[in-house]
Amino acid sequence: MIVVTIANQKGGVGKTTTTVTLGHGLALRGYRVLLIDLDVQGHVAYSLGMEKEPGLYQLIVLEMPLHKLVRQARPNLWILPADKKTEAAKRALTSMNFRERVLINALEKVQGSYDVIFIDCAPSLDVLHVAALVATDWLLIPTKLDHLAIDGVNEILRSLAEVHQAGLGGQFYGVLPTFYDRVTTETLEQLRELVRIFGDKVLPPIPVNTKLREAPLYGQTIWEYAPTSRGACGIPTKGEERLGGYTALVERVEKELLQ
Amino acid sequence: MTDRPASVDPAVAALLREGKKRERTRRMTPAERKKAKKDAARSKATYDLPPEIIKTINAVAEREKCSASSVAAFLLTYGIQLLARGSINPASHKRDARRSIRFEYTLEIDEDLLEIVRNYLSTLASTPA
Repeated sequence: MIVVTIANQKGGVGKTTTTVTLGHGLALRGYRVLLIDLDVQGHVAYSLGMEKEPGLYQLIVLEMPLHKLVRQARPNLWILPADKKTEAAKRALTSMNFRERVLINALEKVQGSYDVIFIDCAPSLDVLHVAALVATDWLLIPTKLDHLAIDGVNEILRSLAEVHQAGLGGQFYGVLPTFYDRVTTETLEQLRELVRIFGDKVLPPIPVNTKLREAPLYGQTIWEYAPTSRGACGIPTKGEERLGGYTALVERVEKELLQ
Repeated sequence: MTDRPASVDPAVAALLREGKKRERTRRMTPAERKKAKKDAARSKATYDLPPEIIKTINAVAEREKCSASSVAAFLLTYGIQLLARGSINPASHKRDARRSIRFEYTLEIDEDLLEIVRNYLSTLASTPA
């Protein structure tokens, strides 16, 4: 079982879309996948057409076992939903001892039940964020290609470095540029800057695509709503090859982390 | 964190190249853009080939007094014909492409075949046109 945390303190960079799309993509390939929502907005459940629930609150405050709180979203795909009560869970956590271990302890109890667990972080640097970094094997950072993007990525990496100082936490898997718009100069400049700093840790980007925005409105993932869209299949080139997109990301994660 | 990293993902590199090309096009005058479009419409491809094959194509082109492109097209057409007939089978030449994340296999050319190419090349070099 591997744990992948998807985090960026900036909002609207595609964290939940990446979590849901990657999770469902791997579930469709036969892996048993659990998605854990740490965001008060509860958008993981919403994106899959399910009800928001105080799953995370029940796990942390009521100390209910994780396996009783997960909900099956699709074949091979389960979620631990969240809702606004997650805020109360965060408050409760601040007075707890060993609070940064709350997720890793919960996940140890479901060891073997899943092949991969994705943790979708809220756009903030809080106690749950640290708990996710402690529990994770790999950190994936989606980022928009605007001028504040690199600062946001560095901020998360600083948090990971602090967790490493305590002898905990996983490895930095990569930066995932999202909303890639090939025609704007700023997008290209920021992609260049990301590559200059992070080199091969910069993953092939996810193109800007309306279908990715529309899919959650219908409670569907991109694999159900528009499997042939650019967001799913990548950016067309002059040859037959397509670059980036979620299919490439799913294939890469499967090849590098799961096989 | 500001040092230039050694490697870049091939797909990211391709997008950066494409972006650079777009930038260049944007800076062109209408006449330059028209010429670039015309050039791009030409049927061109770039492949990595063993040096002895490149040298042989050039030597044949020189002997036949034609372009290297036409020799390459001629020889590739005959190669494709052999493939279509089933006379050659790429599957038996497949090797794991360990250093590539884009491709699973490479097609390895037998050393015996390359030796034939080298011998032919030396024959061409020693025979006057």
